[in-house]
Amino acid sequence: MRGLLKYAAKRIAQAIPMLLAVSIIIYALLQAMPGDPLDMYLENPSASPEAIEAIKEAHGLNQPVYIQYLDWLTGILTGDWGVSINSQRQVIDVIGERVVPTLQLTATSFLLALVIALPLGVRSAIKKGETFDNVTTPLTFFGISMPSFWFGLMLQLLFAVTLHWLPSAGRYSLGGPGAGSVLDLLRHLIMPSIVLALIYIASWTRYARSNYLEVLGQDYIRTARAKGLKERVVLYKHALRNALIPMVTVVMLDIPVLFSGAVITETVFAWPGMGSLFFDSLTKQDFPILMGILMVNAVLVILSNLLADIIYAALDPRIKY
Amino acid sequence: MNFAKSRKKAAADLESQATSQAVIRTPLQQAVRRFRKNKIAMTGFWMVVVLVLFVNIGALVTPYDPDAVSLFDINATPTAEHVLGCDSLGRDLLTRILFGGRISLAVGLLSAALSMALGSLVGALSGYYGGVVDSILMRLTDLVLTIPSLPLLMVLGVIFKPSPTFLIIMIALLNWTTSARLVRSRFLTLKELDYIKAARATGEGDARMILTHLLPNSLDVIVVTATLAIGNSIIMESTLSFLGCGINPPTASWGSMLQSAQETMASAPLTAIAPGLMIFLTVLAFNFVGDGLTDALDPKRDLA
Amino acid sequence: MTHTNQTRRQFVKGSVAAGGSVIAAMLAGCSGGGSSSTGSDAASSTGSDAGTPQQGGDLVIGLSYEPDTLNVYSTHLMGDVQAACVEGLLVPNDKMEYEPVLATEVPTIDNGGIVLSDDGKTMDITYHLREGVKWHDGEPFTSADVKCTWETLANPDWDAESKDGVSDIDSIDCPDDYTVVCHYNTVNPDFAQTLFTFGIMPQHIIEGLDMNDANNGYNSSPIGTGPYKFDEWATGEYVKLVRNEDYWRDGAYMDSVTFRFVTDENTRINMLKSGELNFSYGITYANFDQVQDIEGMDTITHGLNSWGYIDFNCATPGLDDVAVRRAIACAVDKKSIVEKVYAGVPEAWDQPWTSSDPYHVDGFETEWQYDMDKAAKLLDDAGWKMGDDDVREKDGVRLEFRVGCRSDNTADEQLEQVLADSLSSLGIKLNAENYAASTWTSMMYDGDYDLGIGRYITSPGPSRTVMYAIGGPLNRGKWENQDFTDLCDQIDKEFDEDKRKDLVKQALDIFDSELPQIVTYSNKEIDVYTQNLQEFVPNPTNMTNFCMMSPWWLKQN
Repeated sequence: MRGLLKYAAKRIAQAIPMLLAVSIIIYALLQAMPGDPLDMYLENPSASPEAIEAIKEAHGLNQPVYIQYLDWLTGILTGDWGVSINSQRQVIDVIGERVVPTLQLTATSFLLALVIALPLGVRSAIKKGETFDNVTTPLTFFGISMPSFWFGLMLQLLFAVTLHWLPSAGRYSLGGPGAGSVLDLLRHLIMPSIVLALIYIASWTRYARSNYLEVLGQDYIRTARAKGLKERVVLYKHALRNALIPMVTVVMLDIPVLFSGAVITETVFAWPGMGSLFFDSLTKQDFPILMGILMVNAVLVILSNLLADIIYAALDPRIKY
Repeated sequence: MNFAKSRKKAAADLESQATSQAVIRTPLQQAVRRFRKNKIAMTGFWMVVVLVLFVNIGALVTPYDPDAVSLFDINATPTAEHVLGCDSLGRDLLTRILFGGRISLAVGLLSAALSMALGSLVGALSGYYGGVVDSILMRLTDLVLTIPSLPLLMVLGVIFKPSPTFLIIMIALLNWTTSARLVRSRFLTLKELDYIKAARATGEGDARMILTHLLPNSLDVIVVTATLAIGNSIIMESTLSFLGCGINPPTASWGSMLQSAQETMASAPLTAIAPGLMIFLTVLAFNFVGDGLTDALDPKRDLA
Repeated sequence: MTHTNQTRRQFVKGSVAAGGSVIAAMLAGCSGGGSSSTGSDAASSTGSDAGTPQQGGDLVIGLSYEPDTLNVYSTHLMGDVQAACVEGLLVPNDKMEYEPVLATEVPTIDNGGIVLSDDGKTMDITYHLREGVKWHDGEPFTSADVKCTWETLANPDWDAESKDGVSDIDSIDCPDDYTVVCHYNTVNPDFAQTLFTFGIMPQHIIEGLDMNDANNGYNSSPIGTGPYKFDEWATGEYVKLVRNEDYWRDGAYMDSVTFRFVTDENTRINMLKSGELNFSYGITYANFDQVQDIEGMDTITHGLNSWGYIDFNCATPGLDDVAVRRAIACAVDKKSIVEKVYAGVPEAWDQPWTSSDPYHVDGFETEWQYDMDKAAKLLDDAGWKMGDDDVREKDGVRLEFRVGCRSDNTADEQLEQVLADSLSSLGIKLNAENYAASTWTSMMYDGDYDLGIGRYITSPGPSRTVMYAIGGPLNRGKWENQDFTDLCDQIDKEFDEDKRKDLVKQALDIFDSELPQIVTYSNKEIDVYTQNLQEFVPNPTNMTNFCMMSPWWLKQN
């Protein structure tokens, strides 16, 4: 256990130069993007050259790029994430109010995908070559071959327009009985989380199936069977545990992907999360917001990597750090 | 009871192997044999063959220019001349499916192959050597994973006009990290196994260790990831069209066709169904093949 | 250039009107329904079912975007939400003529509201203000508010987006609480386009505020005099306005008006179908068929002061030859494109003064009608010879160009492909290069394009100085025509309507002969709204449909 803590501390220490490198690369990339967030001022005929200079000065845009970057970096380190060029609001406020909706959506989808994918995968491994397996495989592939915007709109047509069971989009109802309640939120969550989960169900089912088959072929499983252990115990205790370990890597690594996969889903379902904010800011080239979201994403990737390794180590006694 | 049964089975296996001594098969031949015995795998294989032949021969045979606009055939329903009807600019849908298929298949296959090669290399080196090599390579993987693909693609898309080659390389460069991590994980597990330790103790060279012992035992992970990656690449290509970084019009690809069919879905459903179905069939076919390969490449599977 | 009237704001608004953000346009772009359109024209279908207005009801409007700020002068998007809440002195109506709102009449030379100086170089404009108008917080509205609005805008510290006309005024006098005299340092018949029309800000609130600060208490929760007052802004979700009980005239019948932000157009249409929205506007042409028969909803199309174009970069070798530009114009079958690809919604059009614009030249038809033979002859006569690879050339210049548009706008992309296909048979090769909206806008401004496809929306008024005059900020293709520029200058100073119309005609002749840009269509907007909504009159200007919404009411069932 102490080894693990030490390892975690080491990894976190390693993460710092990493984040620094990422921030430099992202900053440079955004700078290299054609189009200037201040174009909207430059193109205004009633803005005099002096006024433009003043605005540039105010945004520090006359400085060389590395100075701008250093300013941004000192800002971030002191809790000042800058000001949105679009709305003139503090970046940390703008991003902050999107965190909860995004967590609600990604967590729901994540759980949904896990709950569906693991049993499906394990069961099709056990029933390998049988009807269950042969039906599950093509079904899960519907999931990844369907573009999420299309699937989302189809769900809306069915459940909101035709059946009137669920609201089409948004996070809460605007009025009517129960508006703003937890139940209302859950009703709004159903469709977007299904769409988001679907992307992962197929691949997680595949990995679960393949890992499980791999484990079933291992000597110790045969030994366990040979020892006369009940088939159920073999399948669900010994095999499952060992099959799940490599899954941890896949699943944890998909957390940030899930997060960015929300870009399109959130936009289609008018969900006020970070994904739709990112999309919106990208079209407006709102530099400080993009930078903020991308850095949050980077931290998330690093954290989920670290978690993946730690859980891996905790589950698999053979791995030592 | 069980023990006795399995012993009996093992004995029977040995016996059958012994009796077939006359026909000695290499592991590859055995794999091919196992693959050919797998019905689903063979279905997938023939689907891939048919798909590839269909789009390539079809594109040579079709009488239409995939990009020729005809305002009078807009969203035309299927007829004898236009078997699938026409799209929102009156272009023959079947012709565009064929030409688009060539692009989509090329993007899917090549980028998956490229990213697998890259990912396996990085994962293998990292998992095998560990230590500093592992640290450096994994930090590189993390770095690539951490840099979000969207702005990267947008910036690069403007610098190098989005061509199919550009897409293949970009998708590969964004996708190799998953396989790298998985191959590394597998190597870490394998390294602890007794027979690998034994092989190492006999002083086999690093390259030989990786190529003959570790990599073949990781093939299932690589193949599953690769087959999924083909589908992912095709989907990714459509997402890129969505963001305005895809292949420029009028060049067709299944992804961009699906993308532009969103409004015609109601009036000309085939414009959405046709490319969607092609993507689905392709993804499915490659995954059938992938599953078959996984089983075929794993010698333990026959005994299990 | 103190008299320029269109700002980038109008231009950006154009892009919003034409498709909102990337996803909206992408998902809902244009593909043409093929079937003939059945949309009625606006004026006839609304306001006819009068009856006595009923109080109550909640209007939920689907917007394709979220406002950046609710300050009318700061925003660089459409001012839909603001229009229902903040009023100006004047407002352009559905016929694009100004009507008084907080002023009692529109100042003109005839009614003495405009007094020109003896040398004809400056003017004074007097507004008489309505008495008894109260701000949403109960304070009275007076001339001090008008003056403060100008002073605040004139402060260089405020990086407002729309400051047009502000520097045209040297000083403002307020002889009493209800009279405002503005001393202009120039003459400008289009003085009402931005300043005081966008809105008046309350002195008792904004005085001393940092207007650049989004959290200054005004920018995100404005106090106005309009029929609906600000209630709540749930970021990422909606802005809610509630009835102004003390509205100064009849109207403001509905309990609340909520603007819901739904970027994706297909989602917006689904929400109209499910009844979660009861108003949305700016549906793309391709979805016209889809919104025709929604139960309980009316669908109308109405003119916009907006036109589609194919812009030439006149600095590009090849395109600097007017014969090539004319030949390209002859290869564009506007009527078929509008009919087949755009579901017959917009009007095929030949001049940069729209069909809704009272200044457009009646019955004008371009000399360069669709005629492929004529196009080929124009090129032959100008000495462009067909090369070996089916591309014409002359003196080492090949007729091979880049053509571009925003990749999120399917309507533009379709026009681009029809154009490329049509020109290839003429021996002109086009290579499509489409980019994300912000990138493409930037590239056009930098002149980094050969042919560019897009659309404009502008304020009322005949001036086209910004777009086509020498040095005009939107003259991206560097078309330099001195005669046209001189006519622009005259239009910008002329008060006599008949003379202005005559000048427009002369300018149009030069425009059509030189073709810096092919005008493809006069834009129309598709609006969908509940049949319970009464007295809705669509507005073609950049002040949006919501600038005159006080008479609107909802029939209660």
